[in-house]
Amino acid sequence: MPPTSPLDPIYHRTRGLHELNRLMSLRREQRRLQIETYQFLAQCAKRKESPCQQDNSQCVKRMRYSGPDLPEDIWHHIHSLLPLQDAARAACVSQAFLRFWRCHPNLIFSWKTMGLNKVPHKKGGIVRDYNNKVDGIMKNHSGELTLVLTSNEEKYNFPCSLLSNGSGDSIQSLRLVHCSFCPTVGLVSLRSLTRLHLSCVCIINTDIEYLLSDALALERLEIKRCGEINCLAIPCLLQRLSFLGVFGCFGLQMLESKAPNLCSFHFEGKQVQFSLEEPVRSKNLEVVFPNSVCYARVELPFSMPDIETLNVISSCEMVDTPTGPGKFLHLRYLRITFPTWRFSRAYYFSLSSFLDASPFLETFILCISQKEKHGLTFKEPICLRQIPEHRHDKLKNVKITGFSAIRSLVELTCHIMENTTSLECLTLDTLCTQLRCSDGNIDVCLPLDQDVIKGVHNSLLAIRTYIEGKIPSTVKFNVREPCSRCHGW
Amino acid sequence: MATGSGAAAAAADAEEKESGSRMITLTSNEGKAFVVTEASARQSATIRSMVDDGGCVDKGFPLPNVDSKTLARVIQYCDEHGNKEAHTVDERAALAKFDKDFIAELDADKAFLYDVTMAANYLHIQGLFALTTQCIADTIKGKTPEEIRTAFGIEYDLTAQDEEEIKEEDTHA
Repeated sequence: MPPTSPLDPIYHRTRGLHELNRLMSLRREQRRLQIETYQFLAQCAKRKESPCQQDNSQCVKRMRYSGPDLPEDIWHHIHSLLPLQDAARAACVSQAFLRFWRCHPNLIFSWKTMGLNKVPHKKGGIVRDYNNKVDGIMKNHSGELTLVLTSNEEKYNFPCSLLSNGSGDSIQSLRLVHCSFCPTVGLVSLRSLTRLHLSCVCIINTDIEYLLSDALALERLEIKRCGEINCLAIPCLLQRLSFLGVFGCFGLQMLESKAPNLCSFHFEGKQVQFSLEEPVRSKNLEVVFPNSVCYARVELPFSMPDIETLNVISSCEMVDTPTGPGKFLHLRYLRITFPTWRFSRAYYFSLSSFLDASPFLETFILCISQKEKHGLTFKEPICLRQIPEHRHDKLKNVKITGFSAIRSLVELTCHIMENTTSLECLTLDTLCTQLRCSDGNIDVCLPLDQDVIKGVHNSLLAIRTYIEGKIPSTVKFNVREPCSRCHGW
Repeated sequence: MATGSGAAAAAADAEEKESGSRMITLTSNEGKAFVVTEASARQSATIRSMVDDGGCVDKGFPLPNVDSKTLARVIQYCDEHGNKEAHTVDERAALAKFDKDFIAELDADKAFLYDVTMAANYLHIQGLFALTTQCIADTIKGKTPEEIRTAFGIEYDLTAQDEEEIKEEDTHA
């Protein structure tokens, strides 16, 4: 045993060397064993012999590689399931395993896996040590790559030499987390790249522009929290790009997409960034920012006229959803989620403006995430606000989760019931959680506090008082209550 | 409902059809026929696409890359996952327990484990493939290179140059 402590980086170095020395001394012994192994494998080959040509060639291959008894692609898959430390250790097993390690697709370097202990007073040195270690491994790497580094002060500079001289052209998927990336113009080439994911990566406008102009096979692009980017323009050259996700890039001021086949667009950030200069021919959109419901209702009929599926998530809405001139002539699926509760109690009815602007809507889902505080007293009647000429004859499914006894919500539900001739199914879920053990997504339902249970009683009373009587017999009506098994409902 | 045991899947009784479920014949490379429910056979994406394409359901499907012993074991898995429901917590727990016992038994015989893995790969049975490859990966975890070589019968074939490179990586490191 080396005299150093396992917490000291030297320990790990020495251990590596120690391991290697042991291996080298074993080599002579191994040579002798080799002969025996060949005999053994020959036997294996014999056992597996079959008249089938394919099988025979496999046997020959097995003998030649004299290694693991499975095809290499399956071993690659198995190797990719290993945690980094195990994968690195297994590199010393054989040539085949060394090859698997060189292409190990998931390089996730934490302080711990690198055998480093982050000590505050020598942080600078440790960071350099960490970056050197990563570099040592990266230099021999090839193929698909997920490189996840630990956040630190000196960002590791991704070695672009890995992607130059044609070696980048075989890579299909690249995922980089916490590093800096400066692809050199003319050197880095990623012609087969179909998926690019950059998260917390230091990359500047001109570099990402260059990267995108070259990656013509790109199908999926995800950019998360890359603060240096302030302008993102997706060129029309990216004919195959179908998914674009931009999340939390708070430096971004302009976002533009000319990719002709973009069908899914996800955006999370500040509203000001989301100004689409030209209409985007995307059919699916997910937007997450404050006031996104209002924005979507006013702007999207013009900036995304082809939209078919819309998923809007908004943490707050400053004003009621306005009525306006634009119409969603292709919208079939609308889902609105409010993960917080910062809306006036009169807000919900204004969402009917969205429905009224979507004559071909088939599915409407509303997810509300908080409990009601001041519900209906159940004494006053609900008088429907009369809005003429808004009949829905395509809407088939309506689901409201987190339904509670709030007047404007009851009014919205009644408005839908009164004006929809095509409705097939109405589901009102009295809980805001989608997770129930009976649906199989969790083993035991989450506990409910007393306020929630009281709220559920009120919601059920509101449903019975105001809604149940309005539902035609042709509509399948589901009221979802708390779980009977977990909450003894 | 078809019988749960695949090995006993009434190889000879191709006629024995139960109401509401089509039966499908799979033939191993040794020519042995196995009759399974369609639900069981559909666990394999390969067979599923052949059935959906209107392939020769009546004539059955020859599987030239799978021997009888392996096929019987693969069918055991498909029967369990194809014929049984997994809606309630208890049903899912029963399936998880089946998987655990199934893989524990396979793990004892590495050569057979490889055969089942290759069959799962060839037949595109995703759940079974994930189960066997994870089992092999788990065997590698936490072991020294020498232990891995012993466990899988692998010979040491690294060249001096490979060693130099590993050393380089490790000391750089």
